[in-house]
Amino acid sequence: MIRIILPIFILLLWIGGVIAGYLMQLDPDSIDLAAILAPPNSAALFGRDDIGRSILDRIIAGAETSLIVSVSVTAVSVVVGTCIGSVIGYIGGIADMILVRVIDIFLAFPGILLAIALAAVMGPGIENIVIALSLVGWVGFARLSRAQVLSIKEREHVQAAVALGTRPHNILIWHILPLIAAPLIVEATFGIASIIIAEAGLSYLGLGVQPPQASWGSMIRDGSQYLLVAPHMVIFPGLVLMSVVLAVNLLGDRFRDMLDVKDSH
Amino acid sequence: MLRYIGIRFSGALFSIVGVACLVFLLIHLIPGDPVEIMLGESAKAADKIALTQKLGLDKSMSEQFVAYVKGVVTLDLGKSFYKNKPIVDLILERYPATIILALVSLVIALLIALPLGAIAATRKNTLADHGAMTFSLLGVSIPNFWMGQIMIIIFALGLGWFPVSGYSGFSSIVLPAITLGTALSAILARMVRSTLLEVLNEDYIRTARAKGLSESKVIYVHALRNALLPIITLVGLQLGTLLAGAVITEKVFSWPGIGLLAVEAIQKRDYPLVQACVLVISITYVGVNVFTDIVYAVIDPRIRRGSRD
Repeated sequence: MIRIILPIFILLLWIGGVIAGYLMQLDPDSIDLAAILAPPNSAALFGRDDIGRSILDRIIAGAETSLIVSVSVTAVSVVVGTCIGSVIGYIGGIADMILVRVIDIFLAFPGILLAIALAAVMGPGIENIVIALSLVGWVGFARLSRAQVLSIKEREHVQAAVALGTRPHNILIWHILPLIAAPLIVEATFGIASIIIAEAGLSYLGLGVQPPQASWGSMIRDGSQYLLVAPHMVIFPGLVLMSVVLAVNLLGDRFRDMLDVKDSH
Repeated sequence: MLRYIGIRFSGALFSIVGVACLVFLLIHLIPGDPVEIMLGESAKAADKIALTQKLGLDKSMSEQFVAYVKGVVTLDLGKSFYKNKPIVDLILERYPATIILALVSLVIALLIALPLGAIAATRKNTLADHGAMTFSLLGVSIPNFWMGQIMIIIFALGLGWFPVSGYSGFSSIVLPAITLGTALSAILARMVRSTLLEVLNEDYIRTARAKGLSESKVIYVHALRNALLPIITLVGLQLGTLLAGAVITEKVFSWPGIGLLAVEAIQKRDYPLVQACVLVISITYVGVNVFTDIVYAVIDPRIRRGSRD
């Protein structure tokens, strides 16, 4: 039970934090020079940063950044990747050969290195992060949906639909897509978790949101200069980041068990 | 066998060419004038013209591409203007540190993942299994850069056992290698477990048990050795993740590798150096993957006969 209640609770806190950011009178950017690097206290539950801003308020503001980035990147990646992968996988032929080559090239960049490079040349900013991560993210979904379509298009019910003269786009949408949805959902859930870490990582490198906008990654970056005097600057944003990623991963595990998808991780 | 190696090599070569093309295009993705961004708005016009010519940005795209390809092939990638040194020299200087870090992390990862995965698989659905899988889940959920900072707070600042950052002898590698290694071991432990679980269902395991071998001999000699085959591939693939993860981890610990060089280059807007770093890391990754595939094929004849792509 704990494996499902705990992640849902954390995710509700995450989304709740985003909504609360609008409803509550947060002061993520207000500077209090008298309380620079203040440790956790009753006025600022998680303490204050190097220019006296409340860490808690900034964590709540950062929830929005990570939610916007992770959801939009995953949405773009799933839609673009699945369209390209399934359509080209279904058509086959030269287009398919080219797609496989393109996927190979993208996968030749290890991890988020390509996203780091793209974000570096495009400059910081939330839109550029979304573009950079989406440019890298669609590949995984294209590869997965292509592989799934290749195996499913040989099934009898698809052959029957072809024999009945069903149009290809109808076959894809009504006869194939519902069957490949389960692995895509599982992949997308794990995708959200890795995008949250990627966004934080890019922000940690200074390639993320522009100051003073808050991101958990950039908060950890700011705190890394004050590890000795103000470890709370690093500890709290990281704990929150870890909890959210853990929750999403736990949920992904649950989905995988429920939808009976073969282990690919 | 030779045919298989040939196919893998040509595939890798194609990937490398594609990677090189993408890396070439990177500098043209910069919104606005790269020279202005690199030098800043207050730069003198003469400096701008000089840099434009140096980067070849005054030439046509095709001429630039030819010059770039020539540079990559002849290993003459130009000069880094913020370090004022040839880029190739800088990379050669930093490359060993990254490789050493990656290898030590890999050893740490295997030392943790193999026993952990074996314990989890043999005691499936017990407390030990759940514990190991919880560790694994935590490991993939903790970002490297945060884990690194926490390690610094505890072991460098708190206990004073290791240096905070930089490179000063053997003790410097401990924290970055543990940071990278534990993250990797989390993924690997899970894979070791699922591979072992599959192998444990095989007939030869039943035979080994039937002839009265001790359980540890069954696991470590019969099961793990067979499970090692797919694990080698996974380790090869993960070594790439390690290389990319090294970019951020090297930054955390100021480890003087190629990842840190890339981050420095990004901060100084030295785009040719950024391109070179990305290119070198990716080519290393492709190389490691090809090497793993070939090792795998040497060990397991089924692969080279079965593979047609």
